[in-house]
Formats: sequence, structure tokens, C-alpha cells
Amino acid sequence: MGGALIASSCADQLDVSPRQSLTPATAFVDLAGYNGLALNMYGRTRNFSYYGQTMMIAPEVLADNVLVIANTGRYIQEEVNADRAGINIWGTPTTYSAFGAINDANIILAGVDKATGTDEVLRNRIKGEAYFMRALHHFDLARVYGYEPGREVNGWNKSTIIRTTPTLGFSDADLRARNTNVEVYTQVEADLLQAISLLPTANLGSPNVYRASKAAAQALLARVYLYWGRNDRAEALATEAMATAGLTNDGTGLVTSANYVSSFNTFPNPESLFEVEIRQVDWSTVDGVNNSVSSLASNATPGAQFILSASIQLINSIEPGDIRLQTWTATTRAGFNGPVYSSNKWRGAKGQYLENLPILRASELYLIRAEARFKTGNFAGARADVNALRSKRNLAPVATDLAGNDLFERILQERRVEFAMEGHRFFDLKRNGLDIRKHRNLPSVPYADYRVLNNLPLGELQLNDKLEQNPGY
Amino acid sequence: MRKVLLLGLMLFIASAVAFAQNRVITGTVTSVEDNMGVPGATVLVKGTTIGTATDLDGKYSISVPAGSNVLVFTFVGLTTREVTIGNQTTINVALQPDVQALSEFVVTSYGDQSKREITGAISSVKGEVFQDLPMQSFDRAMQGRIAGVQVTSTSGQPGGALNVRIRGVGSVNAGNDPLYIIDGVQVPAGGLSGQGSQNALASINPNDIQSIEVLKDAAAGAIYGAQAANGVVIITTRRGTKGSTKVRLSAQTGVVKPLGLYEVMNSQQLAGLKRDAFVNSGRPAINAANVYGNPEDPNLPNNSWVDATFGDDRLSVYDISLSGGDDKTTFFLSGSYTDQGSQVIKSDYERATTRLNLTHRPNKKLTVNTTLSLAYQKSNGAIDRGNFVNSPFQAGFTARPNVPIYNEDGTFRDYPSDHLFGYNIVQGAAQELRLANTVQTVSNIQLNYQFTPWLSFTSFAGLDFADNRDENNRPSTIAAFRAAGGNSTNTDRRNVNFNTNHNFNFNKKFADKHTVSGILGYEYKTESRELTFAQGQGFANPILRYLNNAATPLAVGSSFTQFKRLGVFGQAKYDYNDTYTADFTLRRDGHSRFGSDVRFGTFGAVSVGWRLSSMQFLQNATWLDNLRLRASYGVTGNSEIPNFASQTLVASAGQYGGSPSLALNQLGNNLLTWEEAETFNIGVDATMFNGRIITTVDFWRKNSSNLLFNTPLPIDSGFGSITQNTGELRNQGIDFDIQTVNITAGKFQWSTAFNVTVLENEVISLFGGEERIGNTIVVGQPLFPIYTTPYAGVNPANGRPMYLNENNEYTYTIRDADVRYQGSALPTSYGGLSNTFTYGGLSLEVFFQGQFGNKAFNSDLFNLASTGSGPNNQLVNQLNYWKQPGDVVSNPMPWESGARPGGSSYTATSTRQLSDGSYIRLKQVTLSYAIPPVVSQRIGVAQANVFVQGLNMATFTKYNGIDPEVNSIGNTFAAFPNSQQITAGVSLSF
Repeated sequence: MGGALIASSCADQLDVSPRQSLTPATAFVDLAGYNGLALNMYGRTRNFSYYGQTMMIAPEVLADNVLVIANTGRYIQEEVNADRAGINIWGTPTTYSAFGAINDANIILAGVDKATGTDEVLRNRIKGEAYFMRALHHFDLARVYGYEPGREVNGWNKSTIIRTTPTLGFSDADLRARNTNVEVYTQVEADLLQAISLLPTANLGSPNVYRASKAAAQALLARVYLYWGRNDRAEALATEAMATAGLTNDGTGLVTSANYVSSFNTFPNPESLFEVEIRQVDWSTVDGVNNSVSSLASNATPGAQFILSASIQLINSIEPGDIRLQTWTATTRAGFNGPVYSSNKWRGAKGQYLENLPILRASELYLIRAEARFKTGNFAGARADVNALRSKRNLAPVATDLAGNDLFERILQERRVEFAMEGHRFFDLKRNGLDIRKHRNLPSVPYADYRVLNNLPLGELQLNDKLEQNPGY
Repeated sequence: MRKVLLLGLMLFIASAVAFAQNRVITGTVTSVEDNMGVPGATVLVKGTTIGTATDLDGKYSISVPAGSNVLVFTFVGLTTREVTIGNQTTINVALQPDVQALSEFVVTSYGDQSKREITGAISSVKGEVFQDLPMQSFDRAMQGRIAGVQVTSTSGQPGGALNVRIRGVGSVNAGNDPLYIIDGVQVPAGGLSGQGSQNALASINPNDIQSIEVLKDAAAGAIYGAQAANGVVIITTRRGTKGSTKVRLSAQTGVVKPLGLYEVMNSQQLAGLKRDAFVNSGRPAINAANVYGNPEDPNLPNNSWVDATFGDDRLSVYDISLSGGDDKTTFFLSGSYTDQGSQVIKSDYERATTRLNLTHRPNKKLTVNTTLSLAYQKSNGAIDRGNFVNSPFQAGFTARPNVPIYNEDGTFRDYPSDHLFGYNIVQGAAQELRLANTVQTVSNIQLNYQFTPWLSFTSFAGLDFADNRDENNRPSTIAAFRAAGGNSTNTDRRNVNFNTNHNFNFNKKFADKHTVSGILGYEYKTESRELTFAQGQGFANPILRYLNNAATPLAVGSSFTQFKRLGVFGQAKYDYNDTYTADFTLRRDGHSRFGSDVRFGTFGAVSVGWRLSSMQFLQNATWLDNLRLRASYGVTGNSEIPNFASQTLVASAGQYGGSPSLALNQLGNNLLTWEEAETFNIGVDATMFNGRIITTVDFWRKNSSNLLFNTPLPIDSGFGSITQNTGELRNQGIDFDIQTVNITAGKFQWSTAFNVTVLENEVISLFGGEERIGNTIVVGQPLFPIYTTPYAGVNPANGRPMYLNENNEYTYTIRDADVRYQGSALPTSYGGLSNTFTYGGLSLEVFFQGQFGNKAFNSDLFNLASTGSGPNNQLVNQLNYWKQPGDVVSNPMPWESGARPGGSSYTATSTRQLSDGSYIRLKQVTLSYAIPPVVSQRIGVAQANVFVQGLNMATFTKYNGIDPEVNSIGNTFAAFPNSQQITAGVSLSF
């Protein structure tokens, strides 16, 4: 009987091709294929667990800018810096992970040089974009999960894992230990330097800012140097970025105060160096009301959840006449006693809660340079940069003798007001080694408290013995 | 049925040489059971080797030599009869069923065998057991009826899908569903629709089913090789028999009731709790009153969202069948209609089925069989399982009682936007359209050609075709969809599932004692699934819902997936004098899912049987009708992974800037091949006291290896997992089944059927020496382990929730190291007990079903039992909370947000949400009365029964949720509980 059971030679009858998918061998042969992969890196940043929501809101709620005015379960834990309430971008197999885009970048960088195609401009752009996005994601992981270099508590310098080679098969996915913060910043710096040399320029406010540009890479590198404490380089890169973007020392190139509020409802934002575009098809029919920043932070669209308000402490800190006060509208919320503030930065101006995600705005360059100059002792230069920005925000220059910690606090305050609801506040306090300031009479979170660093997912720690949890978890 | 069963496997006794003075005797062999001819019965001249077999109609003609005067009529499953010829020339014989023979046949699509011969582990349920029960699908009918088979509802949605596990969970990531073969057609289980749960097996009207056989071990299943690792369920529908046309009608109607509901707070209770929570956490009491009302306000409205969402509904089932036939053609024709509501508004189910089963014999060698079925299923599916605000099982309980459901004019009122995304659940359930329409056929054609009495050839082709349309409309009357002007999504699915096999069957007896039989065949199967959907928004009027009315087209999509499988197989069987049996099976299968060089796998089994009751030393034990030992060993395969799991895939990933983007979304593995299950089985079958005790015990072990395992990758690699063949699992257990007739006294009879399975599941190894994958799979423990931190109650001094840390010390904050093993979601035993009492025409069946030893984690308690820390209404038992030092209570001091500084969240995962998932359920009670024929015949009815029956009448459990049965595995938020069904009906036969 067994003799009759010889395998039939019809194995090719069993070939079935997945019609709506490609294999890497067919997808990644030409520049068009790599371009498709590059676009996916941008698409990933829209995720609600990344810039689509969490990276914009959580750093505000974890600090002192945002008051939670209704308990839907969202951000109510973050507001009080509860145990394990934070930003979870490391991810698990079932949630968003920032490492997905890093792998996209690594696939591009490993293969794009061999891709067929003669458009060398496109090839360089794709490569530059890969370096830029790899840097952005490593940097975000580094600031969520680790201390900045020089700001370590008890010498704890573990940061993210650096991945610079693609995962295309099982053997590529080796188990690694966390790199140190200096290693990560060094890698991010190297990637951004490559990106700067490869990326095309993009005019401020033009649709070209929907992809990475030279000025965006310079601006991000300036920010990275500021976090790193390399203030002279931060100043230099901010200056270079301003030159690339056509911004002058007096603030020319920024929007005027008359256009400031509406700039957030203009697409792209005229101040955007790098902005991620979203279209209605990127969302399910309920993502707008359920997950958009607009639904959470604004009541502009009827039916919005409107669970987040500016804290009264933020509102009170804004100087009279500051045009940025108009990014908030005093209003009421059923169920909450007292005035609340709806964000005009997130009005969902593309319709049904939809709008783009400004990730790098030009005004940051002035504040990066001001802080870098302050930290290198150039108070006059710092004041000049602050004043350049203030001139575009309907504010008079600061006192000519503003110096020392007062000047530092002024720069920090400018950042707080300028980037409210854009995901900077918690990181600005943390990278300076400051206690995390809180609103609503909540106790501040000491800088040395374990909650300043996010916890790594338990499943990853159990899978990978080399992975160390942050202290305190 | 018997005739059909025999088509593939004819018994034959070689005719001897005829002698000159012979006389010819003719006649017909019939069975007293159905008065139909028995094909293939042996007619032997006693004391000689002269014999013949009856033809397809049971007719025979035999030459009897002079001097012989007795004919012996034998047929498997019927008692042997000897008839003295005398001077008769025509001898018609009616054979009685043989009690000791376990006379049922087991059908495979390749051939049939008497259960008496089977050496593998097989259990069966006859259609009569579940006839006229208001169950929409036959898999539900198996629950508690078969040892070794665990059936659990995953949803109480009428017509919903079930989870069937034969002898444990043998695979981690590959499928664990058994192979379903309906009249030879291999039908995948699972759901057809995206709107709630619609069961792919519900297209078969359970009343059309003759029997369900479950092949549990490798010896029984190896002929199916591929896919048999999870066991095989064979469904055989009824066929007609020769004779006058019989008509059967049945109708029943009744109510569907909730099995239970969470008891949630009224407005005053919740407002009081919330005020304490706000004040304790430093928030103004006025804000609590703004949202939840003032607990002292005597006019605080109380709106019961629970009552508005849940309630009783109707259930009706109508069924008709006709069967009959003549010498050449028999038929079975049936139709049914089911209309079943559910316990939740606008979640209902309608089904119409029709079936035509035909058998035609153009001549004595050729038989043509066909089975044609068509079913239409329509359901309005509730959102089930998941923490969704538009699920009635979530929001129906969590909605705040102080919020009105309706405006004063009776229209639905918008729910506050700070809770449940502003979604009024009663409005949503009533107005959102979640309609699924499915048309499905499971049909086949089979040709059988009998070359010689011992050799036949069968060609079979079967089709399972399903066409499904899901319509989803979210009208602009609902606040959440107002901005977009409402939206509609239409999804069309088409599943084509085809299998064909061609095989030779032979069966020959030598020297009166040695029977050799076998099968040699080829099989091919393919399954393709296509899906197209379109979505649009912006409707001028909420009544409009078709996409051509949409102002804005929003999204379109389509997908295609397919697999192919082919195999060759052979089986050889040897039987010595009905005493010793041996069976060898070998099969080689290839599957498109696997790597191109490793697509084929070889499976096989060997089994032996020894009938002790035929041995000389037991001949005097007259109380023993049958005693048999069986042993088997075999290897079967599992390929139930996504169709392209072995390939590295680059797929489109939406758009960016209007251009398509690409993503590497799966890592491939070209070495991916079959998962294997190695099964050992030792069984004993015994029948005693003239059939009053029938029992079967099987001891089994199933080692699954080469698992198709989603090997986790560190997420920093960019991927969460890759499918590899690695790891081992072991299931072992004992299946015990006994049927007894306890008392027979005059018209009174009491009989019992009991079965139990005790089993153990253990992960033996994973991959690369890893001991665990997070807390989800751990070597040395069963699958579905539950790891969490012990909840240690409330500190009487300060009202804080406490937990036990890794050193068993009290702690407020749970650390990574503090989670520990609490048990598994897999039961360690399950079974069923049925008692039937009859007195004359009156009969009462009481059937219990249960499972034991599993832990059940209830995610609903995150919402409903957080002592008021969230926005949700709470269980009434949460009122027992800490108020002042010294209070020894089960719930902590209320704290808005639950994030009391210096401790874990009030909704931290702990044993606070865990309970024992064991239960015993009074599954079915049926009381029926057969109207005496003398009465019924006056109105022309041969047989009439009236009955009342109830399903899910009572549950005994310590489970902390509504229905322990649906809380099985996976997401345990807001599962759709089973319902209680009480019906009354009548069945008539003409």
C-alpha cells in the first residue's frame, strides 16, 4: 500500500500567489518601491499612539499645561502622573511601536543604492528621509525611556536600542541590550548629518514640508544638541536651519501676530518646517470623534469629547496682549464647574476633526538658539532671539537686563506658551533636570522620581534577558 | 441510511459452483427498523460455503444444492437469522437490529465502516437527540453530549459561532478547530460576517442531520491526514428510503430571555459614590453633582439603561420534511424557517433552509448521490466582545442612570460627550444598522461504480459556497455621526470552498474468517475568499443609506486569499473472525501554505482491536454482550495558519500625500511546514446486560510538535513575531462515556447518559530554549495561563487597595515582579449528564452540562467594579466601600481617576477581576407527550407529539460575571451572554 503513496509530482499545482501583496523581490527593486516605503514612514507617524495624539497631548498633561475636565478614562492617570501612566511608544506586538518606522528606514538604507532608476535626486531624497525618520524615532524613544546625557539620575544611562540594519528575516531580529544615551544621541547626530547632506530644501509653508527637508533635519539636529547639552552646536544648527528656511534674526519669516491663530488652521502651517499630512481616508469613520486631538482638546466641532482644557495656570501665565492667548477660547463644559479653555490650534479645520500634524515649527529655532545662547553665556543673543519671536506674537521686547535664571525661566515660559498642546512641555522640564511642574495644586514630580522615565513593556523584558527595566518599576 | 452507507463498501461472499440439481430461492432481505431492503446482506447455505449477497434493493437469488435446507441471513448490525427452506421458493426475511452490535455505521467521504469494526476513538450523536431543539447549528447540539469534545459559545448572538475543541487545545497559533465534513464536503468553521457572529455551520438545519460522528484520535482521523490533528466532525444528513412518502412537520414558538444581567446602581447610589470619589481626590463636590446629580436630590431621575437595552423576545422554528422513494430513486426534501430574537434590542436572527438529498441507481452497478442545500441567514448583529461604547453589553450597563434616554417628545436624547463618546447606547442599538445577509450552499455529487462485489470506485465533488453582504449604516440622527452626515459601509464576501476525491474501495472475505478491506484515493481541495467593501458618508436624510446617496465616497477596499491542498491516501484493514482487527492508514498531503520545498507531509496511523467477548473463556459470561480492547497510534497534521504565512509580504499601507505607500508587513519563512500531532489511544468498549449498559473508556495522549508557532521577536526589530515550526504541547486525558437503562417497569423507563473528560494541557517546550513568552505562554504550564497579582483587600487604616508582592508582603504599588501564576483559562474537566424518564407516551429529559477547573478573568469589572473611579455606572456591590479608619470592607476609599498617589491604579489588573470559571448548567429540559396513535389517526396523523422545552434553565457557578460559558479565552470585555429559551411546540408525522 505504501508504494502507492508516492507523492504526486504536482507540487506546482499548489502555488498560490497573494494577489494583494508583493514579495520584497518584486517590491524593492526600483526607486518607486523604496519611495512607497518612505511614504509609509510618514504614514506611521499619524498613529494615534504617536504624533497622531499621544505625543502631542501626553507631554502637556504629564506637566502643567492641561487640565482634564471630564473623566473618560483618558489622560486622567497621566494628569496625576500615576504609576505606569505615560507614553508607550516602545510598543508590543499588538500595539504601535516606533521601531516599525526605524525598520522601514533601515530597509531603505540597505537597499536604495542598488535600486534601479536614474533619478538620483529622488534616490538622495529617499535616503535622506530614511536617515531623518530613523533619527526622529530613535530620538523620541530616547527622550521617553532615558535621561538626557549629563542629566542621569544615579548614573542610569540606558536609552533605547539602536537599530541600523534591516530586519528581513528571523536571524536579523537578534536580542539586544539597551544602548547608552550617548550612543543613541551619537547615532541620531550621525543620521541627521547624513540627512542634511541629502535632503532637498522646502519652502516654509509649501507642501514640500509634508516630507522631510534639509531645514527640518537641521532643526531636529539643533533640538537634539539642545537636549544633549551641546549648546554651541545647537546654536550653530539653529542658525543654519534658519538660513536654509529663509528666516532672519529679527523673526522675519515667522507669521505675523495677525495670522498666528489662523496659521494653525492653514495647511500646511506657514511656520511648519516639517508637518505630517492626514486625509479623511486615513481614518475610520469614528477616529475623528474618538481619537483626534481636536475632539479631545476642542469643542469647535459639535459632538467633540472636549475632555482637555488649558490649565488655569497656563492661561494665567500668558502675558496680556500675547496673541497666543487667542489660541484658547474661554468656554464652558457641561458637568465641569468653572471656565474651561478650548484649543484653537486643534479646531479640526480640514473638517470632521481632521487636520495635519505640525511636528517642527520655525519658531522653535529661535527658542532653541535662545536657550543655547543662554547656556553658553550669551544673554544678549538669547534676549535677541526671544524678542524676535515676541515681535511676531504681539509682545514687547523683554527687559534689556533680563539675565540669569530669570532669563532662563523666560525662555522656558516662551516655549510653554508657544508650543502649548504641541507636546513639548514635559520634555522641556525633564531635559533641563527640573522637577515636573504641575497644575491644579497637584504635587510636582521630583526629577529623580522613577515616573520621569517611562516603563518598558513587561513582555519585552521577559522575552529579552538583555533588556533592563527602568529603575522603580 | 444503511443503503447509502453501503454504496462504497459492498460485502460479498464468493459464489460457489452451481450444481445441476440445485433449486433457486429468491427473496428480499429487509430490516424491521425501516422495512427497507438491506443491500449487501449475506445469504449463505448453512453448512456450505455457498452464498450470495443481496443487491441494492435487498433482493437475492441463490442456488441451493439438494440436501441443504437452511439459509443463513447475516448483516452487520442486524441479528443473524436462519430460515428453513422447506418447499418455499421465495423467502423474505426481516432482520432485527442487533443490540450488542453498536450497529451504527460511520461515514467517511471515502467509504463507510461499521462502528463495530472501528479501532479508533469515535463518538457519535444521533439526530434524534437534538431533533426539534431550538439550536441554530449542530455544533451546539454536541455540547455535553460527547466525551472528549468541549463546546463553548463564544457569543450568545442567535446563530453565532462556537468554539469546539476535541481533546484539548493542541496548537498555540495554528487553528484548533476540528475538520468539519458535511456529507463529504469539508467546511471551515468560524464566522461568515463581520457584523456580530454568524456561524458558517449554521447553514445546516440540525433537523436534517441523521448523525454526527466525532473522530478523536489519529487512527480514526488519519485518513484525513492534513487538518485532522484537531479531530474530525462528520455530519451526515438524512436520506430517503424506499416506500410511501413520509411527511414530518414540526413547529414551536417561545421566548428568549436574558440569562442574567449585572445589577448596577441607581442614580442616588452612583451620585453618592461619585461625590465621595471627587471629594476624596481633592476635586470639588459640585463637579460630581454636575455630572452624576446630587445624591440628596429626591427628584434625581432614574433611567434604567439596562431595562431599555435588554429584555425578552420571541423565538419560532418551523420545520417540514418529506422522504420516500422507489426502487431506483429515493429522496429527502426539507425546509425550515427560524426566527429568533435575542435578549438585546435589534439583535435577531432569521434563517430559511431547504435541502434535497437524492439517490438514484440507473443500474445495479452505478449509484448517483447528490446533496443539495441552500440556506439564507439574516442577522442583525450586536457588537460583541470588546470594550466598545456601542456594545450594548458594555454601555447598557455603564451608562449613567441620571442621564435620560429619551427627550420628552420620545426621540432619543444625545448622551453627554464626556462619557461613552457621547453615544446613546439605546439609540445606537436601535438605529445603527448592522445587517448581515448570507446565502450558503453545502452541496455535493457522488458517483459510485461497483466493478465487482468486492471492488468499487467513488468520485466525489463537493462545494461550500457562501455569499455574504454586510450592511452597516450609522445615521446622522446619532450624535457621533452627525458631523459627517451619517455613513454607510457595504461589505461583500464570497467564499468558494471546493473539494473532490476519487477512490477505490475494496472488501473481501477469505475462508470465512479473514476480511481484508481498504481504500486508495486522491483528494484535492481549494478554498478562496474574496472581499470588497465600499464606504461613503454624508446622507441628505437619515433614511437614506445606500451608497449612491452618499455625498462623499470615503474608502474602498478588496482582498483575495486562497489555499490549495492535495493528497493521496490509503487504508488497509484486516479482520479475523470479528475478533482481531488491525487497521493501517497512510496519507501524504501537500499544502500551498508551506514553503515550496517542504509542502508535503506524511501522516499515518496503526490501530488494533481485540474482541474479548468472542473468546472462548468469555463465552459463558452471558451478561456480557460485547467487550473489546482497542489501541492506536498515529500522526496527523495541522496547517491552519494564514494562507500566506510562509511568505515575506509587502503590502500597500494606505496613502501618504495622495500616493500609495508600501509596508513590509510580514516576515516569511520558507522552511515552514506541517504541524504534527502524535496521538496514542487505548480504549475499552463494553456492552452488558443485553444492552442495558453501554460504556466506552478511552485513555489518550496527544503530543503536538513542530508547532506552527508565532515565535515572538523583540519589538525593537520592527516585527512582533515570525511563524516557525517549533515547540511542543501535550494534552492527555481520559474520556468516559456510559449509557444505562436504570429502570424498566411496565410503562416506566429511566435511562441515563453520562460522559466526562478529564484532561491536562502542558507546554513542553517553546523555541531556542526559551522558558516563557511574557506571561502568555510558559513552559510547564497549561496554555492560557493567567498571571496577575493577588488582591489583598483594603487597608482598614486608610482605605487603600492592597496587593501581595512577590514576597507575600502587602503593597500598594504593583511592580513587574509581583505578578504570579493563578491558574489557566482551560478547564481540567468537562462533561454532560442526561436523564430521560418515560411513562407511556410521556417523556422528560433533563440534561446538565458543565466544565471545571478553569479560572475566568472578567474584564467587565474594570468598568463596573472600580469603586467609582471612572465615569461608568457601578455594580451595586461597590457600595460596600471604605469610609473611615477601621472599616473592614471589600472596596477601597473611592477616588476619582483611581490614581491615588503612591499606589497602583484602582483598575490595576489583579485577582480582583478573577474568579473560578467552573459551572454546571441545566442545559436542557424537555417534556414531551406522544398522543396515542388511536387518537391522532382520527385526524390522519400517524404520530403526534407535543412538547415544551427550555434551554439554559439554571447555572451553578462562582463566576463573577454573567455567563461563564462565553467568558472563555481572549478579550473578556462585554461578551454576548447566552440566553434562556423556553418554547412549546408540536411535531406531526404522516
